[in-house]
Amino acid sequence: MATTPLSANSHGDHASHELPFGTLVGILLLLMVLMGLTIGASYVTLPSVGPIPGIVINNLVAVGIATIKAALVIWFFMGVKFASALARIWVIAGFLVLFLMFGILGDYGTRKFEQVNGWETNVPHNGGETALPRVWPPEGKPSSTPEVEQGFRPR
Amino acid sequence: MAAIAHDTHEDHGALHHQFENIEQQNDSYIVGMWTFLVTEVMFFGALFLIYTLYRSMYQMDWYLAHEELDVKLGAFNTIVLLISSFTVAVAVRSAQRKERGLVLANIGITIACAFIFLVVKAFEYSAKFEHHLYPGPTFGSVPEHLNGANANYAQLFYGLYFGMTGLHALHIIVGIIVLSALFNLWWRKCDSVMKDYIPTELVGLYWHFVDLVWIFLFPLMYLMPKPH
Repeated sequence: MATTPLSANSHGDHASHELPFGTLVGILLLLMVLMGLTIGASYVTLPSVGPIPGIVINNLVAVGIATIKAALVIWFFMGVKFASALARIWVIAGFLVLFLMFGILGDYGTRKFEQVNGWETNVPHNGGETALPRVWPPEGKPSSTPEVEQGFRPR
Repeated sequence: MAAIAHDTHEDHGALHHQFENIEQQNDSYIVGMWTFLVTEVMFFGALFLIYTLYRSMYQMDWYLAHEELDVKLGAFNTIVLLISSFTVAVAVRSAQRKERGLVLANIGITIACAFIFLVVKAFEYSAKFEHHLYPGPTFGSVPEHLNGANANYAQLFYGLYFGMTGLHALHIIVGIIVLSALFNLWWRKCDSVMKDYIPTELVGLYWHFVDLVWIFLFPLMYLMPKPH
C-alpha cells in the first residue's frame, strides 16, 4: 500500500506535526506586538512617497500588518506549515482568487451616473430614496460642484 | 479485500475503510475543511470589496463616522480573539498528544473568550443603537454622533460596520456551538475525538478563520488614518 500523491507530505513523520509550546506562545506575543504597531501607525500621518499620497501609504501599512498577522495565523496556528502540498495549493488558490476578485473595482471606473432621489440634501429622512447610494461626481464636472453633494449613482 | 481492510483497521483505530492510510484520510479532512474556509473567504471577501469601494469614495466622511467607534473596546476584543486562537492551537496540540485535561481546559478558555467577545460587542452595538447610528429611517437623528459627516455616507459606513461585524459575530456564535459540541465529546471520552485528533483540528481551523476575519476587520473599521 504505497503512499499516494494525495498524502505526500514534505515533512514526513507524524511527530513533526506538533508545534512546540514555546513557538505557539511566541506567535501569540508577535501577534500582540503587531496589533500594537497597527494601532500606533493609524495615529501617525505618514508622508507621501513620490506620487503615492500619504493616506495611501497609511492604508497600505495597516493592510500590510494585517496580512502579516493573517499569514502567521495561517502558517503556524492553522498548521499549513505541516500541511500536504495539495492542502497548500487549496489555501493559496483561495486567497489568490480573493486577490483577483478585487479587479472588479476597475469596473466602477467605467460607469455613467444618475441622480439618486432623496439625496438632494444632506438632511436624513427627507422621505427620498437612499437605497442605491453609489454617489460619484457626474462626468465632466469637478468634484467640488454642488451636484456631488446632491448625489449621483451609476446608471 | 475484506482481509486487507481488516488489517489496516487494526493498525489505526481511527482509519475509515475508504482510505488507503491515516495520512490520506487526514489530508482529505484538511482539504475538505479548507474548501469550506475558502468559500468563507470569498463570502467575506465580497464585503471587503464593497468596503474598499465606498471607503475610497468617501474617505473623509467615513473617517468622521468611524471616530464614534471605541478603539479601546476594539483592541480589547482583538486581544481576546488572539488569545482564543492561541488556546485553540494549544488544544489541537494537546489532542495530538492525547492530553485530555489540557484539551478540555483550552477549549473551555476559548469558549469563555468567545462569550467575552460577544458581551463587549453587545455593549458597542447598544451604544450605536442609542445614538441612532444603525441604518434605517432614524439614522443620524442625533447629529452630534455623526461628527459632521454626511449622514448618507455615514449610513453606508454603519451599514457595512453592522453587516460585517454582525456576520463575524454570527460566526462567533456558531463557533461557540461547535466548540461546545467538541468539549462535550472530549468530556464524555468519545473515541471519535480521543483516538483521532482531526475533529479537534477541524474545529480549530474554523476558529482560526474567525480570528483571521477580525484581524482585518479591526484595522479597517476602528483604525482609519486621518485623510491628509
